[in-house]
Amino acid sequence: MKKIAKRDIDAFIRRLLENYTLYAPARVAACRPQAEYVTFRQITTPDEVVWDRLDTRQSPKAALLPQTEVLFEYERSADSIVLRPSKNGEGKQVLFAVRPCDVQAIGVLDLVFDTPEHPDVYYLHRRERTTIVGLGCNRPLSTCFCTSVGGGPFRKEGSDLFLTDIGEAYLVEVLTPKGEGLLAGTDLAEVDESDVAAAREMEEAALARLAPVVEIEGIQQRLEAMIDAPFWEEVQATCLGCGVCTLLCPVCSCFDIVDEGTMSCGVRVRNWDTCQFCVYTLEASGHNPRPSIRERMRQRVMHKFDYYLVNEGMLGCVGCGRCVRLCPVNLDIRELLIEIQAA
Amino acid sequence: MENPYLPIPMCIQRTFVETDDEMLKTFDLAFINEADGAGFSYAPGQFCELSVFGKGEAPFGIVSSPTEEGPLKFTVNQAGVLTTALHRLQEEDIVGLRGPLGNGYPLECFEGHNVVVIGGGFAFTTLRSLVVYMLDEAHRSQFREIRIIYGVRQPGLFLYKDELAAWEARDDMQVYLTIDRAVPGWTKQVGFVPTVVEEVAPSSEDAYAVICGPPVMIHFTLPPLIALGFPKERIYSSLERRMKCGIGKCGRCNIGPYYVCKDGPVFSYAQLDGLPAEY
Repeated sequence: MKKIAKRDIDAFIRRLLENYTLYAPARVAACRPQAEYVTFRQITTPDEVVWDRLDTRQSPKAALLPQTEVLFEYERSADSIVLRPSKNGEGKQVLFAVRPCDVQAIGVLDLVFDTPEHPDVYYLHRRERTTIVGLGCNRPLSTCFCTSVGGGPFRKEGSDLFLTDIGEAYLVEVLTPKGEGLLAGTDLAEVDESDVAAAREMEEAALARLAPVVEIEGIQQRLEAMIDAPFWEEVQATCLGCGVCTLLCPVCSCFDIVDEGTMSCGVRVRNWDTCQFCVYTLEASGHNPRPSIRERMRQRVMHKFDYYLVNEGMLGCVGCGRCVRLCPVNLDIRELLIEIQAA
Repeated sequence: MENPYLPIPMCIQRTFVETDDEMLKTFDLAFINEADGAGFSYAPGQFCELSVFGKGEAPFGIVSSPTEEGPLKFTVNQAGVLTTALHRLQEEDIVGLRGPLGNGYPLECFEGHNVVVIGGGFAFTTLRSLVVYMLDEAHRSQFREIRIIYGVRQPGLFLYKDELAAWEARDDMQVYLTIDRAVPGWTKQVGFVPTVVEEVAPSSEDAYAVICGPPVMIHFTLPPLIALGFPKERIYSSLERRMKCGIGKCGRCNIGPYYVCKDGPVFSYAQLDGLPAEY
């Protein structure tokens, strides 16, 4: 393990910017100062990185699965149709200062998009040229619940390089050759025992703030037993069906495919979509297999806490707390899960 | 790496209006590039995503059977933006096709058994593929009794009328056609499909049932089938959802742990038991 002094981190980021496109937590200005927020976006200078905020509005998901993405252009020719698949960017990218929950979410996305029978070329093209720099969470928020869903504030799995803030410096842990590649030309100091102890203290303090709040064990069986329970009728009464929980979720990856253009030329685009909207499943005949918020809310919870486990062996929730923080009617997935376990 | 989102170009060889309300048209599609056709092999019950460029893409069951030479066939109900655009296309127009997708009917299970095919309305599409496959000379002996129960609202709404007539004339299968309400000149069955299933009472012994139709028809046809002794493991249906990607990624055809597009569209009722009835 090595460390990098905080005064040297800007030079490190500057060097990365020479070779990579960087996405990091950064401010987004708004018309009112109170409306300013921090989210993952592309940065061009080191001072844009916001190091101390865990509540990025969006995860770095869009760097791998853009909210809108052209799949191909089409153009009618005399006797056929010409399709030009989109390259959607070349060059390498670094997702920088990604919190362990968001890294865990990318692990789930990998399982969904990188399947042997139908690999998603667009996702994989981006994923292959992506390096992830994780950053431990010294002071988890009250909405964080990663330890309830198999994660942790210093979970390193999935990161190529992992940083731990130990005060004057960041501990730097190389986890993959990709991560090693980022460090070329960077002077790192050796760590001593006091640094390791400091990191351990940080981790213990963070864990102390994260007492598991939800018992996940057995949730699948509970959910499957209560498909038609009145529970869903009751909890759906508050939900507005706005879809913000899925829009901000780092795991949610459902999409729509639409054409933009005329019948002779245009583009086929995929856009993020959400199971919380009634049109998501609505068929042209008028039939809707999930006709009300009851079914749509059940779908979201069951997909994340049952179906993902069946199909991917991982939960579809990483405990980032975005859906808890930004739900306009204060629906809290942790409370729902506690109620489900108690039902 | 193959790009699963790129359609292959197809030329409309022929369009044919199936029903007298003119809402159902069959499209015969030919491969524009020979190589695409050579690499395309499918099974009854599979589906494709058809593109009308500029309007989008939607899933349709394959109507033709792999045992037939010639074009791929799809029967399309005019319902929304895409299907309306499709209906307006002419012969020699170009559409896109992705597929074949999904699992198809479990022919290996049906082999050596009696097969009862139950269809309602315009959901008979992939059932035609299945029946044509089973009746093919090379395959007929692999299956025992074949019975078809097919119901629509009124006589003009049957799909594939000429073929139905030919099947009725065969002595190696039974065909029961039914309409909802009696009309002058109609001499066959009258009544909803569930009632006709009760009347015909196909034996469940050594038999599989395949049932495709509107959700309400399926809902009321399952109880009589179960009463006849068909276990849920031997009742199959092909589900429809608004599938966009067709390869288990876009998420909208998710029912329980299944994706209709890649785990289906053909499921047995034993598989669907205990899942949310979201179909």
